[in-house]
Order: sequence, then C-alpha cells, then structure tokens
Amino acid sequence: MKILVEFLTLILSFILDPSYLLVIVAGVVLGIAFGAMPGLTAPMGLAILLPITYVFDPTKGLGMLMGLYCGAVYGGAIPAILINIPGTPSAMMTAVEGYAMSKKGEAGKAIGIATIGSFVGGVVSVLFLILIAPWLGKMALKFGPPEFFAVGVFGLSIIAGVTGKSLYRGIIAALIGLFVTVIGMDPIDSTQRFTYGNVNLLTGFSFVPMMVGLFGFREFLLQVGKGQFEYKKVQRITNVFPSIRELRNNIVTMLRGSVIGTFIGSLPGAGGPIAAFISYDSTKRISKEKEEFGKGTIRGIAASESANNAVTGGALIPLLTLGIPGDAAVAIILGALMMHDLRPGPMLFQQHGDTVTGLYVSLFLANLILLVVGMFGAKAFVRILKVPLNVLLPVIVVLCVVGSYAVNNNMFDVVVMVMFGFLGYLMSKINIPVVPMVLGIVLGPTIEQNLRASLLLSRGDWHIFFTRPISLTVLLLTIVMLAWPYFKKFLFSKS
Amino acid sequence: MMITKLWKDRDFIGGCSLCLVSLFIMQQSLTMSFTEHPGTLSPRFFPLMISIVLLGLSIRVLIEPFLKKQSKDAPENQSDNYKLIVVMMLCMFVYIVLLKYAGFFVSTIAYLIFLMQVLKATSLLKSVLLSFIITGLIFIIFSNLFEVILPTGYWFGG
Repeated sequence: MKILVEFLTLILSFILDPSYLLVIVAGVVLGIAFGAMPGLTAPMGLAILLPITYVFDPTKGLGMLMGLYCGAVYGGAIPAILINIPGTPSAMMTAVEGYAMSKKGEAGKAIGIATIGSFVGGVVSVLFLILIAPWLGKMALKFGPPEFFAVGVFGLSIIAGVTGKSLYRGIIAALIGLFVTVIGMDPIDSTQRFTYGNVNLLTGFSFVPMMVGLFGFREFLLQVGKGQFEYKKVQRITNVFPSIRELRNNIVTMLRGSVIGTFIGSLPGAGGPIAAFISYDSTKRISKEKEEFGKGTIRGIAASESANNAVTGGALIPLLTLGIPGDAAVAIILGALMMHDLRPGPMLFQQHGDTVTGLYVSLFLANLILLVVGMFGAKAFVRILKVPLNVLLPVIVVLCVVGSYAVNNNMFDVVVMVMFGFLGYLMSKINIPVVPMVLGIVLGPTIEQNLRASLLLSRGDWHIFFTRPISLTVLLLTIVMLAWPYFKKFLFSKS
Repeated sequence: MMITKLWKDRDFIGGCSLCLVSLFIMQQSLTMSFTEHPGTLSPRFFPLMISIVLLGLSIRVLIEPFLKKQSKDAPENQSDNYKLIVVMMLCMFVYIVLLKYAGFFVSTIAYLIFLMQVLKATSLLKSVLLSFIITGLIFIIFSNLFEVILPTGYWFGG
C-alpha cells in the first residue's frame, strides 16, 4: 500500500516537472524509431543512448532508457504490419496477422490495436513489477556470497542455453564475456591481469564502448555485409482507432497476453519472441474462430503485442532483485544502473528506494506516452520506413564513435568500441551469439567476486556451495537447465 | 582437396582461432605473477578455468565440419560482401586517426561523405550537404546540450 501511495505521488511530481516528461517522450520517440527501422535494434538504441543518459540524474537517465525500451519493443510492430518485416524479433507473430490486415486495407486499425495492446501489456507488467519486486528483494536479503555466485552461474547458463543455435556456442560466448571481465586489476588483491602495462586497461574495458560496439558497430557491419538497404513498398494507413466493440472483444486477450508476457519476461533468457508466440498460440487454441488466424485478425495482434510489451516489466523483476538481466536490452539497462552507482540486488530497495520507485513511474509513464504517441503519430512513423538504411547507417556509426568517446573523453574507448564491434561481427559469422557474451560481461564480476568471497568464508572449502539450501537448489537447477536440451534430444530420439 | 575445403569452412577457422585464444589465455594465466594469499583462490584461477572450458568447446567447434558431413547438414552459405567490410574497417581506423589530427568537424564530414558514396546512399552533392547538416547537429547536441568536449585536432591546436 505504502509503495502505491509513493508511486502515485511520484507520478504527480513527474507530470508537474516537464523536464522528466520530456526525457521520457524523447526516449519513447527514439525507441519507436529504432524499433521501426528493420536493421536497427532496441539494444542498439539503448547502447547509443547510454552515454547521453550519463549527463542526467539517475531518475531522468533511467526514465529516458525506460521510454526507449518500451518504445523499441512496440516500434517493431510498425514494419511488421506495413511491410511484413518485424522490426524486432518480438513482433514476429504481429507480422503474420498485421500484414494480412494491411493487405486488406486495414493497416491503420492493426497499428491501433497493436498500440493499445502494447499499452495494456506494459501497464499490467508495471503493476506486477511493483507488487513482486520488493517482495522478492526482501527474500534475496537472505542471500550471501554462495547464493549470489549460484544465481550468477544460473543466470548465465540459462541464457547461454536458450540463445543461438546450440548450447555450447552460447557457453563459448558467455566464456568470452567472462574473460573480458578478467582484464584489469583483480578485485581482491589488485593483481594486474592481461593489462600488458597499458594504463587504460587497469580498470578493465568501459561498459559503454563495449555495448556500443557489440550492438551498434556490429549491426552496422552486418547490414553493410548484407548490402540490402531498400524495403518493400510501404502500405498506406487510414483510421488508427478501433471501435469500442472491437476493444471490448479483445480486452481479455490483452490481459491474458499481459500476464503471459510478464511471467515469461521474468524468466531470464526467454524474452519477447517466446512470450508473443505463447500468447498468440494460446489465444488461437481457445478461440472460436481458429480459421481466422493467419488471415488478419486483430485478436492475434492484441495477443502478440500485449505479451511482448509486458516482457519489459517482467524482465525488470530479476534484474532489480537479483541483478540478473533477462536479455541484451535489460543487460544494457543494468549497465546504466551501474554507471549511476546503483547496484541491483536486495540492497537497491533499501538504499535507493526513491530511484527504484522513480523507475516504476518512468516505465508507467513511458507506456502512457507510448499510447498517445502511437495513436496520434502512427502516420509520422510510417515515414521512418521511407528513409533508406544506407543514409541512416553512416549517421549511426558516427553516433557510435561520439557516444563511446563521450564516456571518458578518451580515444581509447573508440578503439575498444570498434574492436568489440568487429569481434561481435566475427562471432556472428560463426554462429556464436553475442547476447550471452554481454551477460558474461555483466555477470562476470558478480560470479568471480562471490566465488572468491565464498571460499574466503569457508577457508577454501568448496562444500559451502552444496551445504546451503538456496545455493544447492540453484546449482542443481543450473545442471538441469544445461542438461535438458541433451536429455530432450535423447528422449525424443528414443520415442 | 579436403584441407582446402576445411579452410573455407567458417566453423573450422573459428574453432582454430578459439583454440589459439584459449591456449594463449591458459599460458598467460599459468605464468601470471601474484602474491599468495592463503585461504582464497589465486587471481589466475578464474581465467585458467575459463581457458580450459573454452579450449574444450573450441575443439567441439573445430570438429563441427566433420559432424556436419555425417549429419548431411548443408553448411550455411550467406556470403557477405567481405571487401566492403574490409573497406569499412580501414575507413574507420583512418577516421579515428583523423579525429586526433583534424578534429571532429573536418574528419566527420569527410567520413560521412565517403561512407554515403561507398554505400551509394545519394548523389555527391546531397552527401556533402547531408554530411554538413548531420555533423553540425551532432556537434551542437553533444557540445552544448551534453557538454561533451569533442576532439578539436592537433592541426587546429587541440
């Protein structure tokens, strides 16, 4: 109850301060633009915006990132509906129904229902976040170094397992990420590791240039390599507002999608595409008009969009309470929190309660702004699709360079950005996903520090991880998660 | 024939590179100098563990082409325009060096014009115009709004 009162008071203070609203609006608009341009991604937008948010106070900076995060997830629906290319993987199912509606001349209505669905999904997930995160945070207060080590390994393994084409390639990526965090001074006794006398490396690589490289410059290289800069003809849009009857008929679908999305989002590694698919599939299963699915039904869009936007709030639950990011976009938000000296975990709620409530409010307002911008600005966003990618890409590269440079006013960071971008490109070429690498980079220090702190506590006795119930359970879960794909293969080949 | 085929396989090249990287990390970890603290792990433990697991998995990538043959998996043939990638990388390094000497304004305008021409974005005249506008906008936003001091370049007294 107390948190809800705080939440409502803060909403009022945010609305009364135009500068807060302005940064969230800027975030949402930029997010929609990034989501709507096929080839530009939400993590790319977040990575490029990350250094900019550094000049704001934490609440404003995080507000801008929340706006961009929600905007980008929603923005993916626009090209999915208009040109049958999902702007983000989460909009995959939206493309199926949306483009079919588009061909029938109902593109406007499809965008309208996608906007309302995204809004409902986003708001429901914020409510779940407000209710669950503090409770989980209190539980996590019981965690010591062995538990945090176990949770870190669990987070890394589950994500390595679900991304990319195979488990072992995901683990390779995570290991590369872990190795990157080793470079610099050792956290316990300041031994220099892999620095080779370079003073720039003493504190390790800065987070922002690595992210900008992996999501900005790498994407640039991938798009240039493909050489496809033009899209199909964009469909025209007319009326965006659905009728009251259509809204009433779809509200249950949206609420169901929101719950599914929040739950799937709170599982590290699952993410928007899975949430959208499960929500779409369950709606189709229980629908009386199954044959309408695939031919352009607004129910399919409502299911998919409410679920993928609900992932935003859901993904913040493990991030804020345990410091485990569910996907690349959330990993960058974690980086933003750390840039502002906010370490996610149970203590975040105790020490920085105001900032956490500010984050909830920002996410809520971002969804509200998304509804307004989406409904009234849909026609303007269609124009984004008319900007050729070969004009936009050079601008993105310059922003990558300036963004990396801006963190420490240091050219070394620009070189780091380029190196990581090229490394990410090479990894993509041998089917090694970059997302687990990012999570390795984010979780590496937690894993190493807690491993060593645990062994200091136990005086070198490794049993500490297996004699404490929470750490034992989490480690067993890790083994189950890692073994599951092989076990499943074995099981199905037998049957 | 077989060797030539292998060297064209991305997995084989990737596996070889990863093996070399993990062996390098292993060797560097083993020769790392540090002060012993009884009761805790040494600073080399973590990188050493990473290198051992990475080596094992790199070997798995290395043998992938042989497994592919058995499972009759067609190797992926998404051919990128690698020449363009090399040009982009060279261009980026020239841009970084230029930033140091010619400063943000001159080098960014030159870089943008070159990039737009290479990517066949628009005509030369439009590229020049767009480059000036974009560079100016970025300069104003970052210098004035975010108070970032962008490089002025040695040639211009920076």
